[in-house]
Amino acid sequence: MFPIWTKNQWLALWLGIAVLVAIPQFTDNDGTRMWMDILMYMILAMSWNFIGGLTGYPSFATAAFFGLGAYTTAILMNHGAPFLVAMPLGGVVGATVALLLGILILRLRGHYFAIATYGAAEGLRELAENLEITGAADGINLPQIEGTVDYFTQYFYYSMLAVAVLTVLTVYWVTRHRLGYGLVAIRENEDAAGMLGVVATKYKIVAFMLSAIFPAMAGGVYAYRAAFVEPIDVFDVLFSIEAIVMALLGGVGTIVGPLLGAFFLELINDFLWSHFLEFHTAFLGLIMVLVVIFTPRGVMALVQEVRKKGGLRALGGILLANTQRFKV
Amino acid sequence: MIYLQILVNSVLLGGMYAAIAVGFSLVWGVMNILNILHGTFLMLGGYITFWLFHLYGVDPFLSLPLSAVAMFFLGYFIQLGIINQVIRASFFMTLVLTFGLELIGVKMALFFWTGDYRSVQTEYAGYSFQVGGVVIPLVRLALFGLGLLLTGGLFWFMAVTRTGRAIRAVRIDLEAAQLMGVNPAKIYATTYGISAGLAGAAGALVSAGFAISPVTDVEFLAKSFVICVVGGLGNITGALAGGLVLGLVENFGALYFGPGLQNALGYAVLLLVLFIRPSGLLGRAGYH
Repeated sequence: MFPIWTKNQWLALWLGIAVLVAIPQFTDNDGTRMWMDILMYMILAMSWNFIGGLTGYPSFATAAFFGLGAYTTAILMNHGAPFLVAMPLGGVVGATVALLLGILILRLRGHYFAIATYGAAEGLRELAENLEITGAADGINLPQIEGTVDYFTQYFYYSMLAVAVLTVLTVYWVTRHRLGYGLVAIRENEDAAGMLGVVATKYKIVAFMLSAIFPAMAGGVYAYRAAFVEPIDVFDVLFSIEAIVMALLGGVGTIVGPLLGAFFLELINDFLWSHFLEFHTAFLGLIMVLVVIFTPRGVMALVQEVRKKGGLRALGGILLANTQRFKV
Repeated sequence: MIYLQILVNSVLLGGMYAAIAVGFSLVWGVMNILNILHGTFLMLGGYITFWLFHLYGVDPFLSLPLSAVAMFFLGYFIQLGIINQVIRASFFMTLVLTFGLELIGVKMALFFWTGDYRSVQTEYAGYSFQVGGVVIPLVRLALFGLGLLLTGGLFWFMAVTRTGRAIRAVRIDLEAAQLMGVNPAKIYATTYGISAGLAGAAGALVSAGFAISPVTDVEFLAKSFVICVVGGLGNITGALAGGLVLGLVENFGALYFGPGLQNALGYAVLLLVLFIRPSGLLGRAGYH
């Protein structure tokens, strides 16, 4: 199910990490910032893939964990905690909330689960808009980082890179481990998985916590970089949606899919932000519609199919076949 | 006395909420689509009513059928042209599809009409009367009555008409329905159209009593979630019960916790009901 990694794939992974480490040396601060955004969305998409892709439970809670991490980091740093302590603690808070929420709602399936995660995320945003500790709708400031622009751009970039590498290694570990196979078994048939000795509840809760901890840490980096958090920004449901779309674009449930999806969608986003700022979300919506209709299994699967069927000439036929497959 | 007043307000609100959620529940129950576009139809119906009033002085209660019919056709063709293409894929695909369409719709509405809140200010907007010390605003009473009418109308339609029975047949056994000569593509489109039409009518109600803006979309979509989950899917009494509960929670929540936490309380009730009784308060299998 998960092919064993070949030497070449390992080489590609380490090469990729080496390139990412070197990037700030070869580009200006704007370029570094763009790559940091790509890394952030890679983290969100890969994390969503634990619960939404491998396990088949479509969660809309990515934004909730992202916001929790951002607020935890902000509040702790305002009480004197250093960033490198506050940010991982944000991850812990995210995972803890995922644990509690998971116990509450992971019995639900299908639409009910999707609605419950959406409700939890929006409910947390509403809470943050009203509680005193989160500064209500005004948000809260974080301590400004000291140093030159070059220094702090790279500081944030490498923090994000560290979280991203941690996420990739976790993905690798999960897909090598009993856990990953158990999660896929749950996705394919939860009852049968139970009979084979997969304790579904436990597995699902672990997957949900994994989908929470890394976005929460990314939220911490995001907050420190912005030096300001407010509910409508860090609890924005678009974080959840973009993570989902990126995973879909690359291929749900695959290892490399979310990485590629995040990379391409963020490149498209970057282009749209600079040329059609106003219509950015409308284009995102259009991409969602096109992906669902033409490549429901993701671009990765499409590329494989095109290669198998003899080159780009087959592309039109494959896309057309995709549109016919799920017709009424 | 204040409790009685809030109780009456809640009941009046609940009638309108039932009309908002009943179409959402129909599409979910029949086609297993979590229709994110529901709030968009509601918002568009509201804008039709607003513009007809603003430009030509058409009374909102007169333009309600127009909003409903316009949204019926929009919904009909969206289902026929787009959603039917992927209806047999997993529920997650239709969810993403309608979410994408919603993002497009809201962005267009923001572009054309800006994010300003707009409301229909009729001459009779401020009228109210008293019954035993309880103030009953005329418009709210009308919204309540029309909400019940729409909800009951759907009930009648599903139970009595040929199309209603075809919809239920497709829901219960697609293949058997096809053998009986039902065309599922058209029935799905009709079902979706009816849901969108009900949302459009509900939007007309909302614009007559409250302010609307493009973000109204998400607000009422979230309310539909809560109402459907609390009341249970696919039955009309469930929508009424869910609407009433949400009305009570919002009004009494505002009294005890302040108006800021109204929506958060709605979500709390949602999670609580999902935890205790996932099938909803009156949950039964839908539309059998």
